[in-house]
Amino acid sequence: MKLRIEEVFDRALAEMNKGRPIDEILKEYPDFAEELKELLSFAQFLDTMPRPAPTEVAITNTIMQVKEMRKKEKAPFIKPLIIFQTPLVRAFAIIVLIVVISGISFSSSLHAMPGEILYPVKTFAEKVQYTLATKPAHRARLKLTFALRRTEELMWIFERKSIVEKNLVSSMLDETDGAFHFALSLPEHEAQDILKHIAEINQTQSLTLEKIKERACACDTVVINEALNKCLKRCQHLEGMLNLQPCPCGGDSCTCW
Amino acid sequence: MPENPSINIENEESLNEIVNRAKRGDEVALEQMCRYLYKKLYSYVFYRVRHYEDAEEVTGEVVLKIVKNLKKQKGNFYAWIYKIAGNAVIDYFRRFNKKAETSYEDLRQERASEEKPKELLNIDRLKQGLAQLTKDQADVITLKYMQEYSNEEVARIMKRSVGAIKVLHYRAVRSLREYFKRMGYEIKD
Repeated sequence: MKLRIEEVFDRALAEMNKGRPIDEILKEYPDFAEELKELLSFAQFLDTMPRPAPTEVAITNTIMQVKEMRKKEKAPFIKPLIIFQTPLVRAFAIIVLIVVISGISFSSSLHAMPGEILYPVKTFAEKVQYTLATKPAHRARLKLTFALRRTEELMWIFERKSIVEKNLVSSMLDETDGAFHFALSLPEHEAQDILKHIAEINQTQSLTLEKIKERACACDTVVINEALNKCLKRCQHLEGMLNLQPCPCGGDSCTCW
Repeated sequence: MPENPSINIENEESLNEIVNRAKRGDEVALEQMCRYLYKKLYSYVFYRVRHYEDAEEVTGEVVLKIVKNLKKQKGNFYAWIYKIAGNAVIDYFRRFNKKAETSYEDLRQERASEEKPKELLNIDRLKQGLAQLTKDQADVITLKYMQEYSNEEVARIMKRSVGAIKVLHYRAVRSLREYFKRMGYEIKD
């Protein structure tokens, strides 16, 4: 099989490096002699090229830089930052941050009043709380908490702006109705407890409405009276359900409880 | 710790031992490894960059990169260090916006520097010649002639077959020879 020039050059070079004269090697490969002679001479020239050595200063400088780099890697304050570079830890840190920020916002929003920046957060948190609650008793208690909040908010707005916020009035009554609705689906011993609580809230709402009625604009009287009537009906209904004594005042209203 | 630890790296096995010790945090081994690698890689980088002073800078960068990534290193150590060195040379040309091809200005200056000692003149001419070759061809020349590796060792470093290295070697020597002829450079001492 005829040898390729690459193979011939490699073999000839190996023999030349062993100390065999070029002319003698070329005789073995007459077909390639002309090209080989030039290539081997050039390879010989390449072999004579100096192997430069670096200066001791350059080596020492690099070793100093290496030591400096190692020191920085070992520095205690850098390590936590390096840990945060892994994607998993970074994702975890972001999740923790979101949870912490949400927690702070939710807890701060608890005392927010209508018109304040955090009030939408408060109502959103209430919706989330209500959605997460699965048991009817829990939902009923939540509705009562929300009803009480709306009552306080109604009074807060009236005291500052002397207006009756109609949305709050209806929301206050709806939340109480909702609690009542859930109470009806509960076993008797649990229902009694909730109904007593509803009666207390109902009384608070009636008192609040009476207070507002005293100072409210005549244009709001219709809304307030309607709400008071609803409270009265609810009170009578609750009296029957809880076997409570009739109102001691003997009047139509039971707000003197 | 000794100020200037002596280097006793006779073969690949002793280098591997030192590298493993350096990976485990042995400072003496790390310094020995850095000294050895600097000297080993310097001549490789020297023939690949244009300026004498740049060779030390680039070699220093290569050694720093090796130390920085030492713990992550797997597989053939030589293949890995020459890969880093090769990339550093490419970065060097990118960074300074230098082209590997010899410009007319370089050649003009080369012709005007006849008063240079013969040895330095040959180094400059070889550097220019290497810049005309492909990266693989230039790698084969520097690894075989400046680093004195065998075909088998070059094949392992470049992750190619021995046959491919022989072809690259032949083509590289032929191209360099043609370049010297074309430029009218004398190769006799």
